[in-house]
Amino acid sequence: MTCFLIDDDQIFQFITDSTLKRINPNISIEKYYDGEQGINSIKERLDTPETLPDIVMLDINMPFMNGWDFLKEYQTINNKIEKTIHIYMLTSSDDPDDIEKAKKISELSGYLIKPVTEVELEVLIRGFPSMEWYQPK
Amino acid sequence: MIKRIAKYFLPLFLVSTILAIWIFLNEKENIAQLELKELSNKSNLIIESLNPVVANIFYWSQYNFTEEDFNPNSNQRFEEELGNFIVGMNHYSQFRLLKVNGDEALRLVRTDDGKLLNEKNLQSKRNENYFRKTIALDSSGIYLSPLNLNVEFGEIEQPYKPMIRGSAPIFSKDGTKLGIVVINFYAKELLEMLNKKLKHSFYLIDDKGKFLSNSDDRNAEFEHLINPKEKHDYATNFPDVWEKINKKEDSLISYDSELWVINTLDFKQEISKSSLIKEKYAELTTSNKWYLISRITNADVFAASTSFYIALLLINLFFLLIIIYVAKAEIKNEKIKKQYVIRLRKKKNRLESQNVLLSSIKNRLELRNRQLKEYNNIVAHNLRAPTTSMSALVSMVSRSNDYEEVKTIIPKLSMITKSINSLVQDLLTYVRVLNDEKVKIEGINVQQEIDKILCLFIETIDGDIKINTDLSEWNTVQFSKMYFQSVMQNLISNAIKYRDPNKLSYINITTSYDKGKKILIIEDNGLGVDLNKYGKRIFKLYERFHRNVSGKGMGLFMVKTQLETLNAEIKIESEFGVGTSFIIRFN
Repeated sequence: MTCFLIDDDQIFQFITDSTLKRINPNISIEKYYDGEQGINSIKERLDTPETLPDIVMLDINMPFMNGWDFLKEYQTINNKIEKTIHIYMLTSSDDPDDIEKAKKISELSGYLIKPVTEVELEVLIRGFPSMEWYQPK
Repeated sequence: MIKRIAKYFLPLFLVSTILAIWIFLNEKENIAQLELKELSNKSNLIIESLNPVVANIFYWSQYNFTEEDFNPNSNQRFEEELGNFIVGMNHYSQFRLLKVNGDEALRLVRTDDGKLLNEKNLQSKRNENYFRKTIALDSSGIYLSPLNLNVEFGEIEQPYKPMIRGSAPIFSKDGTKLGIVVINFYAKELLEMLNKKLKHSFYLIDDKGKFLSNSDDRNAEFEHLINPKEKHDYATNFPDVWEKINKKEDSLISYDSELWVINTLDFKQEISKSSLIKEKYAELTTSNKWYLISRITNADVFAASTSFYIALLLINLFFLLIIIYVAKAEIKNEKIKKQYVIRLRKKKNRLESQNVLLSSIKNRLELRNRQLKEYNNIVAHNLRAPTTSMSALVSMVSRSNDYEEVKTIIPKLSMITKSINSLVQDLLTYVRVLNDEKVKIEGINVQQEIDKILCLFIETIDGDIKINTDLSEWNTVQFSKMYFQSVMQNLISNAIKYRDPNKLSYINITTSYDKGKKILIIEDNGLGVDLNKYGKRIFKLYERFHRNVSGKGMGLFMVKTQLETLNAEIKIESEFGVGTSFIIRFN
């Protein structure tokens, strides 16, 4: 299982990396610090779909290209992606407008509000792949 | 106020004038009708006075006179009889018998003191008109002479005695003409009666326009007999009216704003109404045709209308007083109203200025609201992350048994404290601007400030960037020096930082006016930014859109905050790959 962590907070990356590895030591985690880096990485692997991630954890507030911009860009290349990628919004924003906005995007599979507990991550990973909208809290 | 009074009084005045005119005309008509009646009465009086004369003459004309009666020496028998007759007739001043040759045969005279006298000094009246006319009549004829003055011995008797003579021919039983009988009717009292209690000028004229009576000028009466050479008769004095009278036009003649009331008295016509003449017992011969004239002047009409006019004047005065009172009250009222309006207007102005004040307060509150929301967001988003991370790391440390692991975690904790400190510092900077109530406003020389800033960047610029300034429209502005320096430094620094290395970079700083407000534009031809993507976030905190350029995304956020606090606005125009313009609008 490959997981992309797209978030500009280095510390959050460190913590989430260690938490996920605790849940499933076989997870391969790749860290990107803004939306642009993340989408470029996906674009590079379009020809090798097996290298595409299974899960993407996406923050909203990032410099250069934020979460929404990433998703816009993602939608344009969606048809070229030959793997099912579950993208989860992982953000400190509990703004109901943001949540509503997220629900409307079909490419998203869930919405997690920071701080994310180990249990929530565990449910996500162990229940993967899930067809339902995952929004703890 | 006079105008107002005049305005109200005018209709009343017009009505009064019309009324006055109407009164005048009405009164004139009334007077005319009254005069017509008066003249008619006078006319009747004359006829009433003369009818007895005609009747008496008729009696004597039918009397059995003998030849002896016409002999002055043998007609004494009449002295007593006639004397008794005349005594009763006050107006008869003479009773005479004239022979066929015109000589007086009997002459009974009433003297001035009322005594009867059988005048022995007999005259000849052969040439008198009345004699000639009468002697020619037949036995039923009666002659009435014109009104003239008594003549004795060829001279007009003084004092003047106006007379009308009634005469008739006398025939004996066998039909022989003996002579004529004459009764002198002394018309003095009649004339006096006609002139009694005159309201207007009264003239009695004959058919030749000669004055028989003239209430204005007694000397003009009988002038044709007294001074025949003088010509002050009616026909000469009033030719136009005389002409109309002769044309037998109406009994009311208007001429030269005077009204002439005319009553035509045709003796023959009127006396013929008596039964004596009507039943044809006698036949009247006379040339008498008189005009009884009243002259109604405008002065007369005014005099008659005096009471009306006085009443009208009093009414006008009364209403004038009322109008004055009303006008005064109106003026007072208007003054009150005006003051009220002024007060209202003052209140309105006060309200309006309060409104403006409230509006500006509302704007400042809205701004403050936005700024506090911003603050909240910053705290909510940016503070939560490091704090939750810190708790996570701490739990990891407490969970860990491996010191090596803990050693890797410690530096992370250090990073977090640094980022919290940084955030707190940024928040303090922000809040300091928000709370800066008493920012010092002063006149700022834009050129000077730009020069100072460019000095700071002199090494970076160093011929690579061209700086153009055009401050021709304005060079000074009232603002906070500190904020102005901060803003300009930020924007110029950005223009330098975000320049396009592939171009000959320039920065244009221009001042201008827009609708009276001062505009400052900083324009560059640098990297630009895609406003479609980032337009909403350009002035937000910690937002960055360019990799490889230093900064944590605080500059424009502070620029906007500093400008907004002092009521200025900033707008961005930019095109990715072309350049950027920042437009500042000072209020």
